Amino acid sequence: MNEPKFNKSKPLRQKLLMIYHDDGILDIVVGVTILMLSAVMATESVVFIGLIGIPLILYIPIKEQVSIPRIGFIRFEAEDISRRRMVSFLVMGIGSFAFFVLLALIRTSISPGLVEWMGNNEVVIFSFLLAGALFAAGRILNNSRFLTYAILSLVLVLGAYFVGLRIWLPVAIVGLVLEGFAISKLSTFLKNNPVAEGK
Amino acid sequence: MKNPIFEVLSLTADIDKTVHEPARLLILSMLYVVDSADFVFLHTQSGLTRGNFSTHISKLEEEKYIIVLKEFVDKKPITTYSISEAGRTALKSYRELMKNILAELE
Repeated sequence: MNEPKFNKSKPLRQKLLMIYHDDGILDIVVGVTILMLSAVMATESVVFIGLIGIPLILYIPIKEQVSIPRIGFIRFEAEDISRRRMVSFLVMGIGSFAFFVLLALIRTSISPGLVEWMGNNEVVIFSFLLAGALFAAGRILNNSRFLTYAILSLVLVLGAYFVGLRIWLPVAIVGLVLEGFAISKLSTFLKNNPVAEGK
Repeated sequence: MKNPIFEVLSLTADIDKTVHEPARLLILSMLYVVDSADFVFLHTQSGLTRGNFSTHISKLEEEKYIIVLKEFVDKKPITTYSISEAGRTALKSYRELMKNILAELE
């Protein structure tokens, strides 16, 4: 049997992943995305939905400017695997979006009971989707902060729903908490890692 | 009858000195679990001085345990390292050998 080139669950690899994402940049980008999502929910303006993904596009340029000159660059997977992973993420994102659009379009033709159930539980569904996305990010990046954000988002959104608050409020709080942690992480990172002499 | 101690001693004689050195073991281990890393990353994580780090990297390069890629990105020289098949095999053999030697202490 051929042994895989590297084992993804190796503790050293997990530690390197943790070091590489200890700059808080990913938290900042995800936090801004969540804040934009809350703004869309608060204003109920569909026009801004397209803007939600913009902070994620800025991740790589920010990482290149801030983090890489300080701690260097590490490639965890071969370029073709990274590219394939990126494409599958994109397909998943577009697929999920298309699924919701399709659901909205065929709403009248699906079982009224299911539509009613989804209408009654949309906040619960949304809270699990948000927490699930943060949880998945935490698992992939071996970042325990994201697992905490996932639990926080679930608790806050469900809590606000049962108390009767508007849902954009707990979503905004989750975004602000992420920003708070991220800025503290980034300032510690900048303090501990001066720009290295390159080679 | 053959002295059993000699068997253990013969195992220690097989230790690959290039891999056995702690700094080189650390560099090779880091490269074993990723695709590639640049000079700055390996240097900062190893905690070695620049000169010391370069010496160990040169030794690994000399033994063909690592592959070195030098390129220019935005007019800046960047050196990237990845583990070669020979390096991968050497590290695996080292791990097996050390396991066998340490098993004698159990």
